[in-house]
Amino acid sequence: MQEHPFYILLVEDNQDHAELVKRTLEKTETESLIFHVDNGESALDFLYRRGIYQDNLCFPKPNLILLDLRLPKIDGLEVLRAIKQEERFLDIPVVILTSSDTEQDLTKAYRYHANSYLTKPVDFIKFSNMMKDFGDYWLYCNKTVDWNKTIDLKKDTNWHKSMDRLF
Amino acid sequence: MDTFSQELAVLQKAYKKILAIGLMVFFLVLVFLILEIFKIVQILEISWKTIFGPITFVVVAVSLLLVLIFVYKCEQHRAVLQIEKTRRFTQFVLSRLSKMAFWSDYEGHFVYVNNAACQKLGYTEQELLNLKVFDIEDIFPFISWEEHWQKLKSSGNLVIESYYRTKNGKIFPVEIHETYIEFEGKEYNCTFVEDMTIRKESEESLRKSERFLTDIFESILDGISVLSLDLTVLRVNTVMEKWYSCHLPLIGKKCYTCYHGSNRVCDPCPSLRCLLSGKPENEIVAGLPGSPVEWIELYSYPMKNPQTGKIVGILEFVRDITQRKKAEIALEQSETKFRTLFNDMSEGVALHELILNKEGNPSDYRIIDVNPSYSKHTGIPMEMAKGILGTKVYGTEKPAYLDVFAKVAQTGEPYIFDTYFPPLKKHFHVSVVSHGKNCFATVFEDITERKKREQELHEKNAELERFTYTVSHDLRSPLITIKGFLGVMQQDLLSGRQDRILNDMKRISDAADKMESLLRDLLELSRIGRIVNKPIKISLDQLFKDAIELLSGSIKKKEINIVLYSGFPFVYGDPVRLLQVIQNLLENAIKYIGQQESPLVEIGMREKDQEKIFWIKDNGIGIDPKYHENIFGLFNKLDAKTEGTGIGLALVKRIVEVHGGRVWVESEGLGKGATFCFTLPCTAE
Repeated sequence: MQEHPFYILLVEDNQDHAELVKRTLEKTETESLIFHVDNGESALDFLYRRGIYQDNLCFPKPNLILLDLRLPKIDGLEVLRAIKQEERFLDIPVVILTSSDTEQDLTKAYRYHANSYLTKPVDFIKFSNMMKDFGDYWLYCNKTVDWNKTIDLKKDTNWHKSMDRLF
Repeated sequence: MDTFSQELAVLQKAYKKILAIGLMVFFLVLVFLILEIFKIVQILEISWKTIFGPITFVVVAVSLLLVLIFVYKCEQHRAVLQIEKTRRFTQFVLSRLSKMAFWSDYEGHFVYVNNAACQKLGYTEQELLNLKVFDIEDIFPFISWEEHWQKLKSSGNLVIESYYRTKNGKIFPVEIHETYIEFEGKEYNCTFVEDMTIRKESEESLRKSERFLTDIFESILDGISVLSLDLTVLRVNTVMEKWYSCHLPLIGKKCYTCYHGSNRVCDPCPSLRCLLSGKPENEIVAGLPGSPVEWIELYSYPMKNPQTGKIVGILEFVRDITQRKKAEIALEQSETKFRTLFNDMSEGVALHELILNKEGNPSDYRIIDVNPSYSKHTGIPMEMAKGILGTKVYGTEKPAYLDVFAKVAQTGEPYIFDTYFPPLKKHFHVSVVSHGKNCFATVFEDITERKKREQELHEKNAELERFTYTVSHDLRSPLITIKGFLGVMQQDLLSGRQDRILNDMKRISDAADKMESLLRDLLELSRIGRIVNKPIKISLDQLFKDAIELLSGSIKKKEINIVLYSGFPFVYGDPVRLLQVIQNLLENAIKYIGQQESPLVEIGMREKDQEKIFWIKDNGIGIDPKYHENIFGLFNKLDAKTEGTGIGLALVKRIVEVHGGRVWVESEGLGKGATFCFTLPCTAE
């Protein structure tokens, strides 16, 4: 198990929805810490540690990103694309959490390599259950990269050769 | 002739000698008689007187007798001589006759042959006289001599054509004139023969040339008709007989009767003209109604006597030009049809030819022809385009679309494209086709208006898409909030936790309000497509003042200094909507004024390119240039925390565009303030 809590970057422009997500995630087994930003630009600033997010300790690299699609300033899909184009962020799963269920958004999100796509149900019970399932799966069942143990793949360039030697 | 006169002279000499000798003998006899009488008288001594009478009588009688005998003899001799003369003459003539002449008897033996016969047949006279007729005549092996003789005997004269064989076997054609003669109880065949070799040859060559001419006459595919001076048909070839088969026979009729079914001379008639002018004439005339030959081209040639030069007839050449004429008519109709199409079609058409440089590469093109629509679409008068180089017509440095046009002109493959043509500032839909080597035609339409409409439609569609998208997203958001917090509250209540309930209730209430304002704004936006109020003349000064008045509350609250410049023009438009625009922009400026020490909003006007631009300038938080475009989009908000639905600027844009104007923002970035500008082309002076 990870030594630090599970870091989640929540990108959500609606404060109320952000609050709902936070409250429903409180009930999951795994301890998680949610960083909330309300627009796409802030989300990227957070990841790149720009502007007010420069403090390494206060704003750690998240283990997972919960991303809304309709965002002020920079659109959620643009944020997704920016994340997935940056090699060092590729090890962060991005879960789309949006109220839009159009085919266009769904297709585009997966084309931009979203790891999961969730739509916010209007019904609270369903919303609550969905967030519980999300927590159970992504925070408990699914294994994400532990930043403390992360190996630098670039340094180990002979990695595949050593694999050859094994066989 | 000389020989005969000599012979005759000799004969006459002999005759005279005989006559002289006769006379001498007569006188000698007379003298002898007289002496004898004298002797008898002396012996008998008869008196002279008694005796004289009878003596005289006897003497005279004897003398008379002698003279008579002599005269008779002379006459007889002269007659023989005359016959001999005639015979000799005849024989002489015969022997010198160029025709062959010979007599033959009943058995066919030659009795007489002349020189010509000997020469032609190559025999001597003696040799011939030993031969029979059928030795030299080539035909007798087929016809019996007796039969032939009987035929001759019964008719008296015969003229036959036959062949003779010479001594050395050569056979030649002859014409034989035979006459049956009975002479001194004997039967003769008196024959004159003419050598027909030369005549036959000339006859043959005549026949050949006749056949040759006839062959030519018949082999010509045109109709040929020979007319006399009074336009009577003298001769035709089979082509004419075929064409005018309903009027057969043609020969002997008048040309206008059999060729045109008329009883009067045609007008125009090239043959009559030809008679008058003496020169070949031609004319295209309609054919006989009902005949397959509908159109004919008629050539009339005068036939002249080579010696006198007088016209003796007319030679008509008749050419069937039905196909040609039909093709011409069809071509003419098609030309008219396409010319009408070309002139009346709504698309512009320009025909071009490629101009090649020394290397044979296309360097320019020349406009050959244009239709009236060309001018309509391009605004270039037809006379300014025809025959002029493309670069000159359009004023371009390089010929426009040369690559495309050259490819079409050289490969013949048509090409269609849409383009924006900067020299004319228009969009065109162009079809390029090739109508010949190194030639091409452009058929085009001015689609500027269509492009504009398409662009508008595209924008409208995008907006509609955004609208549905937002409705599904933004209207759903407050619902999620309301139901979500109701659920949370329920759980809190059940678990007895009450600290957050009031706060959560406010969230629910706010979400409901948000939803209400969203619905109101959406309704508002949906109304703008159509201007409900009739456009009237509005004072912009007044409109700005009204807007400031409406917002005076928040202006005072934020202690904003408003500067309104004067001199705004009057405009035509919907005053309610335009007030909405100004109010929204002003509201925006107030909302984003930020934490300014001396907040300032200015309203003014500037002119650029003869266009009046109205602006509302603040010194507020400003807008990053990258968001200048999408702030006018529906539900686009830069800051999630600020109040408002994100419809305001979309509304402004919509109203201004409905009025035919544009709206945009100018800002150097965050903290630098923002200037919202708009134009209204319906400015009234």
